[in-house]
Amino acid sequence: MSRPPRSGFRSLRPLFLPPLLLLLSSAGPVSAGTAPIGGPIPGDLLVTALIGEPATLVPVLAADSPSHEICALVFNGLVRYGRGLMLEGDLAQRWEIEEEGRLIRFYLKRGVLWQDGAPFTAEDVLFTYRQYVNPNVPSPYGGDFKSVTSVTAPDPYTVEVRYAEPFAPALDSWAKWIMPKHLLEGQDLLTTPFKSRPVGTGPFRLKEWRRGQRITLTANPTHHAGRPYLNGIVFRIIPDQSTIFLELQAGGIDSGSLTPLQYARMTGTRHFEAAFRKYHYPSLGYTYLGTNLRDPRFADHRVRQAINLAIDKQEIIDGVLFGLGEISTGPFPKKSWAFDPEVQPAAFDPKRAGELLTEAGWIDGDGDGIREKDGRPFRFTILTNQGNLARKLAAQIIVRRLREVGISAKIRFLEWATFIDEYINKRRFEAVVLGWGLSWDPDPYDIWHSSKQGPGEFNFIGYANPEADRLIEAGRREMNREKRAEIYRRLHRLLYNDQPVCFLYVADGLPVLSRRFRDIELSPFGGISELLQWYVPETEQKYRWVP
Amino acid sequence: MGPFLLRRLAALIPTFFGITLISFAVLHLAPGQPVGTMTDLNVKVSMEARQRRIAEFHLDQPLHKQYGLWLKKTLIGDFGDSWNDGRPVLEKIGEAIPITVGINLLALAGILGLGIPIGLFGAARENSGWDHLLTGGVLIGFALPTFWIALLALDFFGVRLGWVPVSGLNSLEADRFGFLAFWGDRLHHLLLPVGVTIFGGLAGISRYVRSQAAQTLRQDYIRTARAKGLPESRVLFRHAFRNALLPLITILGLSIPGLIGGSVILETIFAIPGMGRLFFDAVFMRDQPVVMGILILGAILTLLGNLLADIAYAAADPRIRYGGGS
Repeated sequence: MSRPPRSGFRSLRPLFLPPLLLLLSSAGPVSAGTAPIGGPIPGDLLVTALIGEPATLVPVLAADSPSHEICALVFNGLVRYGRGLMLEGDLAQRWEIEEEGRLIRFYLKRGVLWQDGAPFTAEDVLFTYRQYVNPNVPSPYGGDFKSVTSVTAPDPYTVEVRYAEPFAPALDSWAKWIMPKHLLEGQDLLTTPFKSRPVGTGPFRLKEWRRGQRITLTANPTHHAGRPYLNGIVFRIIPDQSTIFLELQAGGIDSGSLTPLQYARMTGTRHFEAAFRKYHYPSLGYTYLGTNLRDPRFADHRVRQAINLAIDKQEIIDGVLFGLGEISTGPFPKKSWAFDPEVQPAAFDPKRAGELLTEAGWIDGDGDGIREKDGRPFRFTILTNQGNLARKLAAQIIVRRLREVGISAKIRFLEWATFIDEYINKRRFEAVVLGWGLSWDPDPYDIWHSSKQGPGEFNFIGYANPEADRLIEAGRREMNREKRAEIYRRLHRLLYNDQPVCFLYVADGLPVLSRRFRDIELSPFGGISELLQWYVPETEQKYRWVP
Repeated sequence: MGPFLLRRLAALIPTFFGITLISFAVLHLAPGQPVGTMTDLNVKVSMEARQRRIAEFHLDQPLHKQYGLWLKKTLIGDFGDSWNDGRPVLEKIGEAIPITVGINLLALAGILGLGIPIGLFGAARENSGWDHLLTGGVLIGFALPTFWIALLALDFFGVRLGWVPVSGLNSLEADRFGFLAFWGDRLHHLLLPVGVTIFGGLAGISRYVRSQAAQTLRQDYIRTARAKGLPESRVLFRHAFRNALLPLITILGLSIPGLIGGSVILETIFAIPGMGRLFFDAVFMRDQPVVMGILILGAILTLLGNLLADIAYAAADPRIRYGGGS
């Protein structure tokens, strides 16, 4: 199985945004396809698939990925991620950071209109902030504003945010979508009709939501950065991955995300290649084998090193992902400034793994192929969730490789809610295969800081390293990007040496897009802004009606 | 008939409460917090946010109190709001039911329309070549997994031949069509899902009818009918089949609750927003109000279906009389 050419396109995917909208990236702008004489013209629709129905389109409450996909097109934040993982102004024209990071002053763009025609002002920002921190609004994201002491508006186009102490991820938290005060004030956000009829400032407005069938967005003519060329985007709700692939082939949808199997084995036909452009790029997240570090067996650093050396990650990537992924070496995406390129994945070395296990006192005394220590054989169970084929297959490969170095592991599959509630949250596990999705800001506090081991918190493996804690805390306080990057690179090296979990792989996102769309400018994070430039040459326009 | 009906109706009430109690308890025995699936392992979600959800849904109360709260609301017709998207349960069910019932009625009509003739034919020409062929055909439909047939049919009819749309209920521009064109488009979209359901369901009815009819044909009165020289068609249609079809009433009664139950597999593959997916998703999200709402509806329909079957039986078969002296 040959690896598909990378053709220089790479990008990272934000936590919730769909692969479709962020298609790709490259070092600089890349124009896919040739622009006809006369340049871009308005018209046509993009029809794509949504894997499930959004739960709510009130941004402060939106927690599921379909909700995020729609909100991302309808709303704007004060800032957004531009090229090279750099924050740039969105609703904010510019900003100043003063008092060593304790004050951020945003200057808002003037003349921005809500989709109902009302002007956008600092009042909307204040209103949005109050919703995030309101104890009666069950927002999942209030935590980001915990260290904010005050948000004020000296005038309608200036917002000042004060923090108790310097907080490096602060600016990132203002990428959250701003909501219109005049439409939501005094409403119960859980039941407001706004949740299915949102009004934002973004490039597309919601035209129709046909429950269970589709959501239609149309171009917003009053968008502050100009009307998109496309007349609209139709999200068809298609919950099955095989159906998405069949719909692509039948022409029912213009873009979709494929599984590694579909991508590697089923898209090679002349028909498919003629109709679609295929992309792949590392997704923003990684899959790992985590062990319970409260278990004395896994508390031993040598045992963790041995497990890392005994598992052939490339074999998993080739066998499970058809080569469409990369070996993971730590908690940061490869394209992030926090990633230390000097950290190289350890080579597959079962011999050395065996030596380390012997050194740690695990010896196969009775010759049954399983090592023992103090008369207790090295056996444990790996838990993972049902319905994730890649994790399931990866676990099976891991079990075989561990067996070769004298460790006997079993696999158990659990339904998600049961898995999290009964096993993860109650710490009743020996080992798990799971993944973390990452956000833009590299702050890894919630996952790796030793204080985050409480019930329901995310350091459930029980990692506690004072040096790591110190670096994580320093990274949160450091406002200088270069210095902050150096802190995180040290943390990256430390974590890889320490092996709190065995980092396995970063799977590729695998979107395909109809070739009739042009000027798909591919930037590392963009997507939304890039979508504004997409157009279809007149002769190729497929949907001539406007929704 | 009157006292019988009253007694049957009275018996329904404790049965109904039993069903709700057991459903409620089982739902709570299932591991996993309802708030979990929405927020679990999302690093951005704080503990406080989770605690708020738990309090909001009364999950911190003892089980009997939760049941009491739920029962009180349900008895006045308030099924509550979904814990997933905050929409009224009845509204969600109201959107899904017409779609599922529509598909199921079409499928039921197809199954009866094809299954009964196949069964009767098999009985009349028992063990003929055609009988074996038809039996084999319906059994293949029964034995093959639906998802597999559905995907093959989609690939062949939808992608290769392009005769039918792959998924969904309507074309994107269907709203611009006239009334007839709109519903024609809807039927076009439902051709495959209904067709696959019929293919999978033929075996049950046709085999049942065949064995019933075959048995009837061996009865003495049939021999009498033939002996007195009646034409074969009259023997079959007038004497044999009418009797053979009587038990079908029970089957139809039992299929009433089934009308609101959609196939999760088919609805997922064909992207149809019906009852099967609504229930399935709700269970996985531990969306208690939706799950309980659907269970109650199912319970009511099951009880009513049984009752209707009993009554229809009494009406159809003069030998069956309930209550009173026999």
